[in-house]
Amino acid sequence: MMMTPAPAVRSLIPTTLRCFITALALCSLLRPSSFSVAQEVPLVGRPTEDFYGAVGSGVKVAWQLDRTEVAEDEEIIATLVVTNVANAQQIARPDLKKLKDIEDRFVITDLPNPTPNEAASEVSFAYRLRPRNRQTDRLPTLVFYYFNPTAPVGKQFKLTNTGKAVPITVLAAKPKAPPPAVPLMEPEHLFAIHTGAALLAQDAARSALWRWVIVGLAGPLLAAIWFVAWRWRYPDSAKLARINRSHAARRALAAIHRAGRTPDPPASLTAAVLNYLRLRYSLPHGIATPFEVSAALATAAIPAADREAVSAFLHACDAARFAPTHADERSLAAMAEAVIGRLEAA
Amino acid sequence: MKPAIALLALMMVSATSASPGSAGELLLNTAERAFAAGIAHRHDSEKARTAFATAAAAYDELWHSGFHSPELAQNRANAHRLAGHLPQAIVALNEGIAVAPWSRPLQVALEEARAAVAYPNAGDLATQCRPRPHASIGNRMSAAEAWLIVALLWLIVCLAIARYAMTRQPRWLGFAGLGGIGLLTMGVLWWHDHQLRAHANRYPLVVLARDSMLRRGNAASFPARFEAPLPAGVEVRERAMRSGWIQVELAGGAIGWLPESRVFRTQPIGPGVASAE
Repeated sequence: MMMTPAPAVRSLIPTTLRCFITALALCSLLRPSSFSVAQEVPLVGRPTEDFYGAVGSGVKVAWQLDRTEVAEDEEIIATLVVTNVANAQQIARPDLKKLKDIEDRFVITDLPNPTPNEAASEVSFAYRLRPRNRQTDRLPTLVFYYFNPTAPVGKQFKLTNTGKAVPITVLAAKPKAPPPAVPLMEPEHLFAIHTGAALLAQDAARSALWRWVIVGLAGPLLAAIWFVAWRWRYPDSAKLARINRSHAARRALAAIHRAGRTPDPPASLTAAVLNYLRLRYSLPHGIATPFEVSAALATAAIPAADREAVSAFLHACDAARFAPTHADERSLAAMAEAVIGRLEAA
Repeated sequence: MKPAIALLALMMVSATSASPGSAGELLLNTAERAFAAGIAHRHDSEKARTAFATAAAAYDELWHSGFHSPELAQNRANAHRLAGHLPQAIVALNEGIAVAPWSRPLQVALEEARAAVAYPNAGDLATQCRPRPHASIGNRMSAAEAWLIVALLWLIVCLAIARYAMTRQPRWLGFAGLGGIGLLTMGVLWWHDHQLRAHANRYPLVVLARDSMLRRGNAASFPARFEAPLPAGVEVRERAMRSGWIQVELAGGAIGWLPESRVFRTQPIGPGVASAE
């Protein structure tokens, strides 16, 4: 058996449903949901600037600053507080960088702000503002449009602002701490320098002419002094040197010096002097005796004294060779040199 | 500007405290004080470089006052290097070598300074802008050493001739001949050195102060001679000047134009020096 509701109960159901629907509609009118509010902002008449999607009645905006005095290189935390809004979550953050008045005065950095809850009627946007220079004297007024759905159609977009510009004092920048010192990393030898009077030399390249003149003169002068001194100290040697000018005499003297080392020194000495005479005076090769030599020298116009000296030397040599005399080879060599010297000097 | 002011201040302090002396001694005292201050601050490069720049300015002043010694040139170069002025250091070393080409310490310091120049490692520019040192007797022997050697050789020649006059022995003529050959060799080597230096000094040496593009003409609108800029510190020869631009010849023979403001000129010293007009 099927149970059916009583007629009184049946009449109550549509009534309850109608009441519920009516209540919902009223609630939606009094406290519109964010979804419905967003849908309600019409495009027609919406301001192209300074409208950030705020909906509400009697919306207020205001700046809140953490301080009004700031050093040139420091920052202010500025918070834009929007109150009496019905859609706190849907309001867009005003981009201060697009607002010339503010952008010209500050370097702007957006700070994160917590998302308001759905029922909140207030929303805040925080910014970090660094004055661009010391001429910055205020935070300018921010213009803010909002949508008032309860206003008559055509007058629903209302204008508000943050009030008068907030005066700001920009102080001189605080002196910065010096950066940490960096040691000079250069090769060690560069740190060593020369000191002393040598640094003040006028010109190292300038070579004095007098030095070269001294060198040029000193050599010949020293040589001349040496030569004169030698002649003064060794006159015989000087004479001998004069003799040496003759090639024949040089050869004869060399033979005389070598005669001491031969088996028969008197014969060698005789041969040396005879060779000299032959070369010097073109004597015939056949002559060898003192008489023949003296005669040949007479033909060559040799003075008699010189001829006698030659004859005496040859006699002495013969005596040394063939007779038991006491004339030694040294005295014979000296006689030979004397004879040659005498003839060279003639 | 800063080093110049510091130099002036230091000179005033030195003038009041140092014993009276010539202007050169005063400048030298100033330079040495500034250099010592730089060494004292070597843990702080900024302060040290300022002090070394002051010392370098004083040494420059000394040099331009006519005090030309290799030691002063090396001090100048060291002060400039420590002040961070590599091109000026190269200028100082080149000027020192022009005065004392035999100075081994200056030659070593110049080679080391050149090693600090950012020459390109490869390519046409690398071969063109690297300096080519020439070897000659002037780089190895000082004038005093040459004087001593020549004096000795000449003395040998003269004494050997004298001895020959005494003894008439031909070997002394041989000694004299050897001495003469030595003198002749010295003469030829020094003549060759003189020729080399005169050839090198036909055009004044300039050093690039900053990295600069070598242009084909005397304006920035002309195309670059090389793709890369010449690095600061490159040594070039100035051939001509026109409208604030100088025509330069690189060590490799390439010719181009640089802005006059981008180079440091060296003080011309030595044989065959000429100024580009």
